[in-house]
Amino acid sequence: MLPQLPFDMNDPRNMGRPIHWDENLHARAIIQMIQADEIQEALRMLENPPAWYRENYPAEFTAIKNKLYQRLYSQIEYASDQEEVDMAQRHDVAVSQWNGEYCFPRAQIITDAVKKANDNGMAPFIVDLGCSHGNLPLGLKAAGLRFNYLGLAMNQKVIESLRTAVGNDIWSDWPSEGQEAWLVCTEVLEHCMDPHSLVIDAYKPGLHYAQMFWSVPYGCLGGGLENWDRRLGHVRGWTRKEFSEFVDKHFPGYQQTLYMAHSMVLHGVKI
Amino acid sequence: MILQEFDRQDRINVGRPNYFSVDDWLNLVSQYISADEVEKALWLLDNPPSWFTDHYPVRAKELRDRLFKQFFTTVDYAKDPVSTAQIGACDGDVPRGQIVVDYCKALNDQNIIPHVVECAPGNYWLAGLLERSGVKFTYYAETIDQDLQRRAQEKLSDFWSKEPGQHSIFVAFEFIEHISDTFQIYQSFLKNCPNARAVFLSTPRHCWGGGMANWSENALGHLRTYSPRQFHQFAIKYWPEFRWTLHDGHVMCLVGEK
Repeated sequence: MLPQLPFDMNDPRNMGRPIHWDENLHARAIIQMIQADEIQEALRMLENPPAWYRENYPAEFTAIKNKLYQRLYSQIEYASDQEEVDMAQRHDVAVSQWNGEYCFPRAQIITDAVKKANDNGMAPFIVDLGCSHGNLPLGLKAAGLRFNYLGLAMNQKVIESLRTAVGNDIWSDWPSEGQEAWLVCTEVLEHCMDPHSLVIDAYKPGLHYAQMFWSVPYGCLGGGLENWDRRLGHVRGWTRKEFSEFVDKHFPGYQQTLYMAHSMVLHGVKI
Repeated sequence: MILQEFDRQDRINVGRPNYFSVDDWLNLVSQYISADEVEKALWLLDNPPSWFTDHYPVRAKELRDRLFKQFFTTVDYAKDPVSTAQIGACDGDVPRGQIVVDYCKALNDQNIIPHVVECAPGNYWLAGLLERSGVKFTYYAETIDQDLQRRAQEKLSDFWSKEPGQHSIFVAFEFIEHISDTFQIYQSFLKNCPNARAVFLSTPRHCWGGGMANWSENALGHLRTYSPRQFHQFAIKYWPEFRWTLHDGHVMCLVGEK
């Protein structure tokens, strides 16, 4: 007995339609990509079904795509995030995050580097790209370390709040004569639909960075999302190779050390 | 083809192309930037012949550094100063604005008060134009500059509203050419105005004002240019069910109606 065809082959509308294509499986796979923090991949899958489906685009896919765009945290939402503004005023929480699991292992790596610099009589000028609510500067300040700091973010209210919290003796728009500039960009890449924009943000100040610290979750953070009907911030996972190659491609000439944990940290020292 | 001068006996030059002129390459990159094609210029800078990837010319690095310095980033947009006095102001005739005014007036004639939702409103000139034109409307806009958003909401409070109203329209003027992720326009539509009956988009036709004589002294906001066909393709990609009309000019305005 021949297997039953899933649709009427004699209907001219089904000309070119793939027989062995399970629409439900395709939709499930897309949802699983979203749940695995791979939004960019899910969007690619949504935009690239077999040709017949590109012309006869399933309503279910339109619904998934629209829901995905609605849930995806936009630049304006990042810029107006009141939770981040509130967090920037809770210094104790920021410091506690820096010293705890939340910022492991990047906090230890960066703190050790600053301590080493201080021991050698140097206070670095740290440019923090995507500074969030400031656990880095507040954590380093609480540890009594010497450094200067410039936080960059879309949320200007957070920047204003952080600038006050960090203080004018630490906050600076430019390194002083002979001061080493360091770049920090932690837990930002995975939020960027266009990672190249971060490269431009890093180069825009016109500084030459003696050291850099990047971090990104290794693959999917915390196993991913059980329910993706919520705010979506992470747009892709990164492998070790992708992460290392991205930094090396856009910032050549650094000796890289990669630290592996649930969050990968890449420490680059200018050769 | 001009044979480039370098020591072909030097082992460092193994694999170096004979006819690739770095000057021509960098001049071309500069021309792309001047022609409002910053994305393409960056691609060219990132993709020289492979020998130059390993031996990246100092002049190329200097040009790229200069380009990055002039690039208007999202953080720059988030704090671009617009004075409160400038909110709602409009210099001269803006044809795309008049298209929206005419559309809204036609609705007013049917006793319909349109709800205008604007993405990336600039100095909110459209709201000011609608008000001065005597249009009855409600208005909501979002911008990445939150301080400007707050001041605009206060100044335009007479018609500021998030309620969708009877008949919503979505406007995204002169935005697409500034952003690397163009889906953001559709995302703003979905988040703020998913039931809009009409969509108004605009972008310069090809290169605005012929481009820039001296890009290295200007803030670079435009990332790419659009032909009418490419602009239309963007519109139908995200709003395939809308009927699109192109109002052509130095600035192309696409009006999509459901």
